Amino acid sequence: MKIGMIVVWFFLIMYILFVFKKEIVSKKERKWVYLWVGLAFGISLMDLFHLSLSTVTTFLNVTFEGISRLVVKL
Amino acid sequence: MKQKISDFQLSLLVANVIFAGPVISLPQIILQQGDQNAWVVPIIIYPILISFIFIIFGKDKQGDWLQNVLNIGDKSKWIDKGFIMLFLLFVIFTIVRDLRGMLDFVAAVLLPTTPNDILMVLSMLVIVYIAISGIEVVARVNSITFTILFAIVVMLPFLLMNEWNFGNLQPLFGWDSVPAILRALYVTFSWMGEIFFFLIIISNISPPKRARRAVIVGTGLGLFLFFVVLFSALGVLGTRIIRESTYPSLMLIQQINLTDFLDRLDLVITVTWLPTIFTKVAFLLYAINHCFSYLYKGNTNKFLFPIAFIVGYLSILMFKNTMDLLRFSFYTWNLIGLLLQLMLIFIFLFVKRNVKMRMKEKEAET
Repeated sequence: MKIGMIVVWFFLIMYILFVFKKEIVSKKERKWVYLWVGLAFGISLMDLFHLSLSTVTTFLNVTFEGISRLVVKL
Repeated sequence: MKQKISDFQLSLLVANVIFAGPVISLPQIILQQGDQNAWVVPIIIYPILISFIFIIFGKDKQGDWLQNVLNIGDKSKWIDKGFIMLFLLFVIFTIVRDLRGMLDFVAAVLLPTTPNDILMVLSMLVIVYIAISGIEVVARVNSITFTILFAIVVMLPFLLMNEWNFGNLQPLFGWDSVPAILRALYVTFSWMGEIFFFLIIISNISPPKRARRAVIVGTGLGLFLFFVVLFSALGVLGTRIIRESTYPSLMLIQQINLTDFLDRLDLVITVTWLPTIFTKVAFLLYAINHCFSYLYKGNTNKFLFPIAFIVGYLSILMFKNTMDLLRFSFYTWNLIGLLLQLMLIFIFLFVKRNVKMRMKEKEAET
């Protein structure tokens, strides 16, 4: 376990307890809380297992960088 | 009640947006492309940005329509939603890039043994605290941090007085330097075009008739500071050193050597400089929140906490290392940023027309 992930999980659990206990979100809005917290948990797990999202950046680099490199000096 | 910011606060926000992020490492690529004449780039880019600002605001001096642009909870057409989606894409790219740039800088210079994810978490806790309080708090924090940074940057040429070498600025312009300057202009435009972030808070400006002037002043202020840094970096370090340096601005302030005992001012300056980057990222996070609130047709402050961590992790996961980030920032972002900004301005003109038409319809009804 990474220390950053433990801290993030701790804060996310505190957040869930806080918004539900203080009734900051209505029952209809709870699905959004679950969605965002779920996504945050998921992405922290990706970091734990070193599943990089650099494919997105690589795709953009390959697509657009070539055009830029025609303009700029290397 | 809708939060309001003054024209002065807007000016400082715009100036911070185009200065705080780019100053980390952008001078390297500008000076690499523009050589010893790259210092003219901010001067050339200013009228171009002003013309875009005039296109956005139009002839209307009163600016009553500004109060009704992209308000949360208002009826929206598909073009408004399209604008918001595009803006969201623009702001996510920028926040991920700037946050990672800041984290890499802190990891390289200040806290080399601290893991990246801990730096991200601690930064995000501060940033989300500012952003969740709303645009008024972001603007106030920005006013404090940016004023301090402004004073330091203005003093920079005098603090470096004993290190200047005007030979670094020669040879001066000739026809052969035009392509180099144009290349530097191309590299810089997408970064300086980030002034268009003000579009998302355009309805929060009070009084609206001073909004145009505030954006023009803010752009001028940011570009002036950037000019000071570029000119000083060229005069003190020269193009050869800057080309090889990942953080040329840091290298520049490390040259300050006033007396025998005042030669580690770089840490003090870095500590005053970092909060401005924090404020910029907080403003970008607020912009993300505003976009979500617009699409949700209600306040999404309560969801911002996990969203901030998602954005933070994106900044770590999207770039394998600093070189990957620099490759994206220096070569890929030029074109993506430019395209996004031009599309945003184009679509905003339609959004503005819709707002004006709706206002006329309301007036006719009453």
